[in-house]
Amino acid sequence: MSCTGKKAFQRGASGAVVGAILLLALAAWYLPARLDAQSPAATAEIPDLSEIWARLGPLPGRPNAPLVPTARAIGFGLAFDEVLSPRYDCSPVSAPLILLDPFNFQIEQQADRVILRYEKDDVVRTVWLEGHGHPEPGAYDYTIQGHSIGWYENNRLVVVTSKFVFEPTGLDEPRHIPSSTLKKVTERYWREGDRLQVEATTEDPLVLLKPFEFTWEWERTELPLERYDCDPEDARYPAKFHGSTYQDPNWVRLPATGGQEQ
Amino acid sequence: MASQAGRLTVSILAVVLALTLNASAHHGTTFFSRDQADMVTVQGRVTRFDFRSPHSYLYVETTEASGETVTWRFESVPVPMMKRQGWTTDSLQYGDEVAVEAFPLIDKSERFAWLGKVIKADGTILNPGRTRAIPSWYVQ
Repeated sequence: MSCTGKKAFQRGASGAVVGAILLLALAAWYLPARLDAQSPAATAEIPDLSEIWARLGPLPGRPNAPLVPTARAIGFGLAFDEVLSPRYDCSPVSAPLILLDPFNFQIEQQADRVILRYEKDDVVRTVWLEGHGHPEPGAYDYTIQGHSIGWYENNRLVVVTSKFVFEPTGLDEPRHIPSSTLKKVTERYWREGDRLQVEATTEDPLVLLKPFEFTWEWERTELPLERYDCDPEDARYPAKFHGSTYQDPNWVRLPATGGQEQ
Repeated sequence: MASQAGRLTVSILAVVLALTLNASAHHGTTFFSRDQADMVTVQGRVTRFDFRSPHSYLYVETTEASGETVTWRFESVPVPMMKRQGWTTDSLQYGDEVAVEAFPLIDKSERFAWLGKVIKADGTILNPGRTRAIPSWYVQ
């Protein structure tokens, strides 16, 4: 090896050593944070909810309070035409109604997130656990399932979801009570033996006079999750039998704007 | 005056809804009759079985008293719920002889009904389970 080659080799070796040290330092900084949720102390407060759950109903002795909509929400429901419901086009249902649907769902707990998989509409919700550096939603990030963050507290999983899109039947399908972009759903899950229980609170000041609160319970099941595979053509067929809220659904005069057009 | 009446109407409705509102998500099925006198029993031959979501459909060809051959379409629950009741995609085959109990359209505009249960020629009963579309008086 020439002198020049030896120096180049030494420089390369020095670079590799520095690189390795930097890598170790990075790992020393990063790994404890990643493993924090799995450390023995933290695990003691994390309930094991990772199962497939089958619907039971409200918690025994805890009858659910009724939904109390605002007048504008009731007015919207009265004006709404059933045939316009997005459910007839396989648009998936969101929280909180998806909790009440008679289908099984699965909870999968990971170090930095919790995945909620539902048979109904094949919905998958990702709950980003706080303290793991996931990006905050942007101003435009409204989606059907919203943006969920979560944390463990007193042996419970707390999930808070916001940034929902407007849904014309988002809080009551048969009566067409909508949910607005202000909807915020808080779910608190805990386990009692082979049962999963939840307390859910929905706030939506445009739609609800007071928060809508309910409890619900599921039991552990060995049955696998089934695919829903909603078929849009199939979904729309029954809509035609509902008729219309309007005598002539093809002709309603649009009110004058009074020169307020922009 | 009209707006006062409107406000009163909405207020009354608010109270009614507050008393009775029950959050649950499903397609409306209010166009099917729940009247016991309307229930139909259709005996015939399976021509098609769509094991699907959000609703499974069964088609049965039958001959009416007039001699006319017609096809009834029966609607039922989605695949996950059917599977939990023991149904599979092979539960019914083309040509199977069946008797179907079902709840027809109130307006009878089509031969279309919500499925109560299917009784096969060998006596096997296929039951899709209870839903709100099934009247409380009906025994599956």
